[in-house]
Order: sequence, then structure tokens, then C-alpha cells
Amino acid sequence: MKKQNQTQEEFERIERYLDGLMNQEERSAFEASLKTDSILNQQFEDVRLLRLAVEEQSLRSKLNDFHEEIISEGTGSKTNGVKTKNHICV
Amino acid sequence: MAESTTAPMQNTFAFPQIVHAIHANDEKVLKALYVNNFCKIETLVLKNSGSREQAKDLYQEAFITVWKNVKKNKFLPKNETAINGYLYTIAKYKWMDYLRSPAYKKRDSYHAINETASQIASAESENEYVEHDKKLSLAMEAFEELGEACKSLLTRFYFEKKSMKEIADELQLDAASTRNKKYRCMQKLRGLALEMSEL
Repeated sequence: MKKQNQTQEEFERIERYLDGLMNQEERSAFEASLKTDSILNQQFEDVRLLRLAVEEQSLRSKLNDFHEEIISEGTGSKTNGVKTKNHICV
Repeated sequence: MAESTTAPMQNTFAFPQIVHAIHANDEKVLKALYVNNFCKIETLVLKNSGSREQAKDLYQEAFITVWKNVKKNKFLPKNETAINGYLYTIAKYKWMDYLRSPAYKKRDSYHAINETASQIASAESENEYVEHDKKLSLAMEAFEELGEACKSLLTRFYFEKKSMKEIADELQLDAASTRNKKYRCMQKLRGLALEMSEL
């Protein structure tokens, strides 16, 4: 990651590509720029990495929430009365 | 599902439902997978000289590996049973690796699980891959340092995969300010990751 400023427009263009929202023409132009414009390329890699980081870290925090629920089920409290298979390890 | 989802664009309908749910980070499905598979793996670890704490860490690492492999289409399960079996196998191998590792022989703390896993990863793969992994962990640490408002906003976009409109509605903002906030939060995250990599 490098200290280049990125405008909102540049950021949103990269996102449109990553989200598959570009039409064929726009996509080809973007892919061509990726090959020749090293700053754009760097920014593109950064945005992609940051998005993955947000996603994985959010999942990690969710997993801890799920785990808390297994533990609290184990100590006897029953949430919403539904008993799911294997909630409590014996 | 949000329009802006990053789930694969081609052959979307050819994938089993469970794969769709994982690509979309469907919370109910992820939670059911997590809850239904934990006990088997905890038993495995407890019966093989591990603690509850270690079982949890190992299980979560295995779960993340499975999630990543499904997302990358490296593993394409037909149904839930296939995922359950795969998750158990990954956890078992990770635990066996740990038991063979120097960290275990020194009776180190349970943190060793992650270290071992990354040692294995670095032994197996190209430098480029390891470099990418390091950058990813750093960016994940940076995310933890972000303020709550940005964390919650970015989670809605990139984990929950909600659309701009849904998020704007939830936050009672107009689309333009939501877009602007998303941009600012991402720049903040980028700045933090940068600072951390320079330390």
C-alpha cells in the first residue's frame, strides 16, 4: 500500500469493476488501464485487499458471537425455546 | 440479495443453494453450520490432549479455511453434509499438524495453533502468497482499530452485502451521503493499514 490520495470517483470506479457493474466496453477500458497505469493497479489491489479484510474480520467477529451462544445454551438458558441439534456438547 | 454482491456472475444457477448462501454470507446458514459442527470437533480436540480454548481456536480457523475455499470455488460442496465432512477433515489435519509441531512439543500456549498454520502455509506456498496473507492480516488489524460507525458501515457493505439503498435506508441517510461515508471509511481504513505497515 502506498500513500497516494484516491478521489471518491477513482474509488467508485474500482468498486464498480469489482462488483461487476460495468458494461463490456467500460470493463475492457478498465482492464486495459490496469495493465498500463501502475498507480491505478496499486489502488485496485488495495481496494480489493481492504474489502477482503473487512469481510473476513467481520466473519471472525460473528464466529465469536455464535460461540458465545453455544456456551450460554450450555449453561442452561434457552433462547427462543427452539432446541437445535448439538447445541450443547456432552 | 444485494445487487452489488461479489458472488460469481457466471453460472450462478448451477451452484447448490448452500454455496450461494456461503457466497452471500447468509448469517442463518453460517450460524447453523458453526453450531452443528462444533461439538464433534471439540470432542476430537479434547480426546487428543487439547483444551476447550484450543478447540475453539482450531475450530474457528478451520471454519474460516472452509469459507475461503468455498468462496474461491476451490471446494464445491453438493450439500450441507459434504461441507460438514470437509470441515471435520480440515480441523483434524490442522490439529494433527499442531500436535506434530515444535510449539506443541514445547507445550506453548494455544496461540501456537495459528502460528503453526501460517508456518505450514508459508512452507507450502509462494512468497507472493505469504506477502498477500501478511497484508491481509494487517488490514484486518487495521479494521479492528476503526471507529464503530465505520466498522458497522463497512460490515453492511462487504460482509452482509447489502445494497447502497438498503444501507442508506437503515442509516436514514440519502444515497449520496452514504456513498461519501463509505468512501471516507475506506480511506480511513487504508490510512490505518498504511500506518501499521510502517511501524
